[in-house]
Amino acid sequence: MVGDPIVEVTGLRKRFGDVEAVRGIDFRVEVGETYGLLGPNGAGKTTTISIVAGLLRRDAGEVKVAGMPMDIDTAAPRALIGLVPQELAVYPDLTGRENLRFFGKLYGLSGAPLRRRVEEVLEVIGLRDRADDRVDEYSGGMKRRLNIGIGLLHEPKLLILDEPTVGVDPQSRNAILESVEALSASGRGVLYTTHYMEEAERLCDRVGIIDEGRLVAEGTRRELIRLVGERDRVRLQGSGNLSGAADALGRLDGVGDVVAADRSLEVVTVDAARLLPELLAVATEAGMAVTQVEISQPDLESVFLHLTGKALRD
Amino acid sequence: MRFILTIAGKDLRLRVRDRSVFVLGLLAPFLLAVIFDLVLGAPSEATFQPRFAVADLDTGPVGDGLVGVLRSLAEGDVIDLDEVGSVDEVEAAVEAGDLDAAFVIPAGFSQAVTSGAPATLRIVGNVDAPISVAIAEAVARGYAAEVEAVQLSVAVALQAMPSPTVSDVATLAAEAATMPPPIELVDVTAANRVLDTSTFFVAGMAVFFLFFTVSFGVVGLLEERQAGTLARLAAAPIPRYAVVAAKMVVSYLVGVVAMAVLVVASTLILDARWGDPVGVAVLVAAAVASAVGVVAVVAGFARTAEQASTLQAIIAVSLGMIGGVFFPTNLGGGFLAKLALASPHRWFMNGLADLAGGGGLGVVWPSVAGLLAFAVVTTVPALYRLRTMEPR
Repeated sequence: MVGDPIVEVTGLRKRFGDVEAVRGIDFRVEVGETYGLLGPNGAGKTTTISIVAGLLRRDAGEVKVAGMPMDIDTAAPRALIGLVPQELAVYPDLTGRENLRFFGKLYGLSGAPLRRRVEEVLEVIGLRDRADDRVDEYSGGMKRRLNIGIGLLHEPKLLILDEPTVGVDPQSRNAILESVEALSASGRGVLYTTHYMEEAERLCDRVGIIDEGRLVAEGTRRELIRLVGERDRVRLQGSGNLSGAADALGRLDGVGDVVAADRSLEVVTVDAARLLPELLAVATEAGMAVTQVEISQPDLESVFLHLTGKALRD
Repeated sequence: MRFILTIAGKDLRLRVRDRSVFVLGLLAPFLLAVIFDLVLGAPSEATFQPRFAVADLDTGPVGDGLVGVLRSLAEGDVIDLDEVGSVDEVEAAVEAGDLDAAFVIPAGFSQAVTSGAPATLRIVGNVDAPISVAIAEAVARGYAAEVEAVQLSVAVALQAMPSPTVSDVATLAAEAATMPPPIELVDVTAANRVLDTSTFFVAGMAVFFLFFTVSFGVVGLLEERQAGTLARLAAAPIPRYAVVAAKMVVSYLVGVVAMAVLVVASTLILDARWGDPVGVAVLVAAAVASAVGVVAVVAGFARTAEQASTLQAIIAVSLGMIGGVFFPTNLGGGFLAKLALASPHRWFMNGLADLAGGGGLGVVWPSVAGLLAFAVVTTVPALYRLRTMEPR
């Protein structure tokens, strides 16, 4: 993931009348990386990616796509971007295939290459059987998939997805997330905005937490959790020598507090998944018969709460 | 250019599929023109024919002259004429409503005229037919003026003769009566430059609805912004002006096709007479350009498609009324006639009226220039606004 960034944003600012929607945002997305902008509605996510995609004029700052300056009038970097807007940006009176062909032509595709890409994308988004039906006859999930498919047509180096699962049923949502995971695996950069913590945790290599137009923190999930001092907790239930087990566990590297309760021990650690086998071995050796294990890890929701003092879906 | 055609092709496909362009662009103006023509046009043109009678009790040359004038009007189907033998018969027919007016030429009328004595021509009018009576009076006055001109000519000629005889007087009178008038007025600016009823209403409705028809293209820009597809178009690697240009191309094409179909259909079905085809084509091309400009400037300053449609409707109706597409406002002259020139509709109708006068391409240039001025004044600011429109 180390190399030239596909997107580099520095000092970005944008004002709408009296409202400063973006207040000096900096971030970069590496080639092959999935970068998430996580924040509540109205945080400035859509404004930020609209500027990155060249749709809105910025008031200050700089945006580079693959090293090329991006502005409202520049055409070249746009060819590298596939945009999936939050709204269903498709024509309901055209068929799925007609929609794909139209947008493909705008990206310079024609003839056999256009036909080939349309068929490939229809296959990827699972609409081959309904390709010649009008879009207004599609279900909501099918329209969402077509919306994403249009962004993939020209095989962009960077895919920008603006809250692609808003208003989608759970089944379609899962299908969309799987598609994004597959796209990430294919090596292209993905810039993904969401206010769903689970999506950011599942999809993103790095997350930028955005609130009131500012990027308040940035990093991998673990980096963010560490940043705010949150730890994993492992609850061991069982019987036997609980106090001896507590002493032994407390002496291990990477273990913070160990709190004994009635029939359980709660171990605070920096990385529960890595230490779990060792915790079990040490507790058993100290004479505790472990019957049940529970791991609770802090999530981005708690990070967001810690950083901003409010919940993601306030 | 390739991208403009691609976007325009997509828009045209959408417009054909939703069918509204056919309803608003073709069906509505044609049906309204037919209705207007049926309600206002046909009856007044087909049935108004004054019913006159003449009772010639004189049988002299001057009385015969008037009867001859009336006969020629009857032969031209301008009036319906009965010739009767008595005053009582005339008065009874007028009283019964069988006649609108009657001319009574009293006995001795010719003798009185040629001898310079007072002569009276009597008109019996039906009080329920004031227009026909007014026409009868106008005919009588016209004939009296002609007789007076002959009397004057004879008097002038006799003064130049040292000792004229009765025979000289008769000869001079006969020559003066057959002389052509020294000044003949030929109206080429009014009567000949008025469109017939069918053409007036078809043309009026066509240009009125044109300002709605062309909105399909340009206002589509606002619809795309609301739907989110404008963001996708703006994100594509195409020149920023291509989207706006495509919308204007669609507006223009739809407008031209709608007008062309209406011109042909109304000519074949309603017997409308549009005039020289080349002149009409140039006039239509300029009218569509002005309509696209007006719609574009509305779209440029509106926030939503709904707001644009409402504004567009208000402006189209106002310009239509000022421009006289429902009734000819310029015939009254004065302020209304001047105000009408602030409407592209008026320039279009003026151009058609010029063509109806028998002119070709040469007579429509002033109207074409007026329409193109509207197009330029509206399109330039519209292009600036639309080009800088943010897609979300």
